[in-house]
Amino acid sequence: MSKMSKNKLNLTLPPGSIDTAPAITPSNMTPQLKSATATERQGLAGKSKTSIEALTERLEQIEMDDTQRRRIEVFLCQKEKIGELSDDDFEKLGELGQGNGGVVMKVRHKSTGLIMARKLIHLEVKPAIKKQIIRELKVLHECNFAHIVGFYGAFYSDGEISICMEYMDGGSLDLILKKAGKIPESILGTITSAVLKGLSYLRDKHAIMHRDVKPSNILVNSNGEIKICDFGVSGQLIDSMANSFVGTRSYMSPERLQGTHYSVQSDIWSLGLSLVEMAIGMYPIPPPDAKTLAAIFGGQNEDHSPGQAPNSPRPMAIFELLDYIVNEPPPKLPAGIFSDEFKDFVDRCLKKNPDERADLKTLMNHEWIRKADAEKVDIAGWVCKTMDLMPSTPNSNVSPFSS
Amino acid sequence: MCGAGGKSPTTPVGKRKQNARLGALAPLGPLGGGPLAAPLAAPLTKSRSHESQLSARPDASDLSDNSQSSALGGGSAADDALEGDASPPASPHASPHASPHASPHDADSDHTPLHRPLPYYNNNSCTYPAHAQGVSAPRSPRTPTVSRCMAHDIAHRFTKTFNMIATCDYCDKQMLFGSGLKCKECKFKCHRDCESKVPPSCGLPPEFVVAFKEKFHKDAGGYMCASPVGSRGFLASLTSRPRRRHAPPVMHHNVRDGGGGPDSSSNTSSCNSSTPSSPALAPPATPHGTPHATPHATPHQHHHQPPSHHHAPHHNKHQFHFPEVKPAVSSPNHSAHAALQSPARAAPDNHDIISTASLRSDRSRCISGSGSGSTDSRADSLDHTNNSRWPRQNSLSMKEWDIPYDELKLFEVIGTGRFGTVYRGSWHGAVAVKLLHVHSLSDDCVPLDTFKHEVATFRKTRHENLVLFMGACMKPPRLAIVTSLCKGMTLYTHIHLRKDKFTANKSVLVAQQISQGMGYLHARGIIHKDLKSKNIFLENGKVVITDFGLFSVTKLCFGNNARGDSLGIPPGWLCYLAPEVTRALTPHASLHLPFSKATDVYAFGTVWYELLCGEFPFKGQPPEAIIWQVGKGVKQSLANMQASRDIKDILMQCWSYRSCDRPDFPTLLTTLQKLPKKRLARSPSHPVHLSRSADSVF
Repeated sequence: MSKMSKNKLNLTLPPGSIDTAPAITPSNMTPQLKSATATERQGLAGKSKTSIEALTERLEQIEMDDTQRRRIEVFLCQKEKIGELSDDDFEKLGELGQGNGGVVMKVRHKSTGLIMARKLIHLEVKPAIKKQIIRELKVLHECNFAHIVGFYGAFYSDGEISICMEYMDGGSLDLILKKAGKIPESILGTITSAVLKGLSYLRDKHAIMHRDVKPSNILVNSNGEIKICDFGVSGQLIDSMANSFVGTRSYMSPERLQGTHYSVQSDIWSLGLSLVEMAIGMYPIPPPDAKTLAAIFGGQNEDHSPGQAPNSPRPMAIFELLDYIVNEPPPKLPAGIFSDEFKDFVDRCLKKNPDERADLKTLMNHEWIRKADAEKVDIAGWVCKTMDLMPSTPNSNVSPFSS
Repeated sequence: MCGAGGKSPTTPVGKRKQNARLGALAPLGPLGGGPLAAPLAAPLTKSRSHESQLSARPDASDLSDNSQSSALGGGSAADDALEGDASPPASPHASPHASPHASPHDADSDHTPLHRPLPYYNNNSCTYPAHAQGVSAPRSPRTPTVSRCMAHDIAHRFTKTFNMIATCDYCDKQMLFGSGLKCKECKFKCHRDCESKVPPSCGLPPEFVVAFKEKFHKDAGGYMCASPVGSRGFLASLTSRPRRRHAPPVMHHNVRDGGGGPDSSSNTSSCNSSTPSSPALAPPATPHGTPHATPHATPHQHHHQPPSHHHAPHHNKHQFHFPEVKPAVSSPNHSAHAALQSPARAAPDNHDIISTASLRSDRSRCISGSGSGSTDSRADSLDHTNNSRWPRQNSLSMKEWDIPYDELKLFEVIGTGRFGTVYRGSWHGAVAVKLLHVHSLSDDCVPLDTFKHEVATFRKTRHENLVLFMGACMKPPRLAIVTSLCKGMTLYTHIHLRKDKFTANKSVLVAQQISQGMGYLHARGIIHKDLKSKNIFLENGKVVITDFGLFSVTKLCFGNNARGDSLGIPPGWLCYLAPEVTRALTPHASLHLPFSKATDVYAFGTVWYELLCGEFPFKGQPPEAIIWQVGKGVKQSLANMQASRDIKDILMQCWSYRSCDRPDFPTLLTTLQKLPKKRLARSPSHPVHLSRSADSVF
């Protein structure tokens, strides 16, 4: 990692912030982080010390078990080896999907061999805006948590912003949903618990809300880790997006649709709606009729195309769908098939009035979540089985070097 | 066989074929003014009575050339036809028929070929919407004249339909869900791709359709097959006669095309590039300038929407049998088709006589791009309004606008759109050249047709507040529109990028000019569909509006290609959409958004807001929220806006939820002009302070 000459302002670091002999072991993580990031991250020069220190402090404060903590350390370790990210550093391995505003590729970072997910967002904006976006995205460096997707870096090249993230081999829950048809309650319990923790982390430690909770933004891997991504960390990026996509599904809360004040409660609505969708295997608006539900849950052989209910309602115009969300009663889980706790949890999430809606704390203490936490659910096994993956060894961080 | 009449009276089909051939210009023959002739009135129901008449029809083969042409007896000029009328239809049967025909025939020979429908066609003509004059009894076969289209030549009026699984009536293969077209009139179903191959057989009984189809294809070569002799004579007559098509407006936009005589083969159009999109088949002679307009705003007077345009080509084929007409002039199959097709198209409104030569040239010229059935069908499927089929322009005038690509010099890119890039260029001065991205022609987007459409639109516009159209290059893959180069910056740049402040006065002045330009556009029957600050230039204080008529679904296609189930929303687009348009948004690739003059006014309201507030309404809100709010009638709050009551009122009116409540541009202009102008310090007209009388104190 040679130092790139991007230090146009000739900023210097305060003495002592750089350690000369980085040793790559988790135990020496702290000093290594300092040196690596200090010298190699442009733009962070001034505040490198603070951010790394803050980072490590935070790591200790955050509630994570040892396994999780260790994994993050490994991640950060690998991350520090990465210098300035640039377009030619990457070798494209495949396409992972289309996100809002951009496409996500699976790439290999050539110099380190790390496998990453690179999200490309096409943006044609003025340089000042570009810089602002990159700056805002840098906040992601500090979001290190067991349930937040790891961030390697972001850069702008050729009309596109690239955001490089940790590669999650299980993919997003919406793809898994397509394959699995529907997701069992026990799995959903563990997933929800993870998402709630991630949202809490974002709110408590960074004071940001997600703004876009939906199945495609919840990722899993063969290690059984559940992480959220694509949260709205850069307001400017959101504003500048070249194209937004609006489709047949919307997870936006009623208050946001109406243009009224909204808060993290909006994320709770989105979470509830996502849960219903994942539980029944289809987008729940407009609500499926009894016949459809019977077809989904009736037979032992579930249909593996959950997206298509036997009687698909005629496609709604976008406006109609949104109007339904605002004016009609919220969806709910069908009775009898799921546990009462689950049903109650979802009902509390899907209150149209944000004040009536449960908040993060309440939900984290909800019976259903506590039940889920007590259970030992094998997410890794389920992910591997559903997506036909090889289970990875427990101690490696999903071996980011493997394709 | 020669001419009309076919093989035997008892095989109307045969006759039909002949007719078709004869009908190159004139609709199918002997039976009298084919499709055109037939559907004079409002859609008639098929009656069987004609069938018998059909069988009774004189055998075309019995007729000499003349008789054939007379048999055709199109409406126009009838001389030959007229003469032939009484007698010729060789067979005795003919006579009884002939006579009744004769009269109407005489009467309108010059106007409505339609009136001389062949008995056979009468039947079918009943179902033809287009030619409204009301078919009367079958006419006797007459020597077809150019204008007499005796052929059955009624184009289908296809609309895109999301059919359930169906079988294409044309190729007999299955049609996938959603990709089919169905004729509004006769329920004929076919693939989009088959559309161009379908003969204008609307209303024909199925068995005839088959025969027609075959004939049609035979004719595809552009020859009037069958009886050369007959044709010659026919052609000759064609040359001399004005072609008169029964005017189903539908098809003919510019009827001008009349029926170029075969001899006009020489019309190698002087224009070197075939202008694919020049829909203008219409021969220059036609006085009807309006056809252009029609598609935009008013569906052809008579009737049916342009979708049938699409079929016009087919018509032509039949009507026009000049071998020479062949696509020689332009190229590829399409052109050929097109060439043939154009004449047909020309018909309806046109009462002029057009020299075949010019017609032909026009046709060939026009065809090239437009001809392509597939693109047309795509366009068609995309946009069933007039617009898609529209482009039948006066090819001759298209010629004037055509610019050989090589004469254009392109410099730097000054803008990019969804399917085109705009370059600064030079062509006898500074120009802006919008080059269509040919690669972006994909199934769901029909930039080609849209392109043609835009060109058509531009040609009709001459106003100081609208960008000046200078020409177009219509030779695929080089499709370009050349306009004068707008000097200033767009309102968008001023307001959002440079953050220039517009005083209330200045805003009003700008708004007035926009209203003026838009008023003109609307008066010409053009709906802008994409009025926004990025399309309004300010050249030294003068407003120049661009990109009118260009908006199309292609803009949305960009996003759609990426995600089939989602609608890609270009930034800054939603807030210009009126509630009725917003509510119509769906993720489907093919959209028919209900644009109208009123939606243009709504968009103007948003521009007005931008001028006054310096930002977009609903700023910062996600697209779904905007869609819901606008669809519900929620408007941006004006509480924080620093403007007078009158100004806010104007805004609210433009943004009215109901389209009928929105003012039109002339009214807006008047209102804007009446706005009190802010004056600076006012002083009373008399020196109050100087008066010392007690009165002045109070």
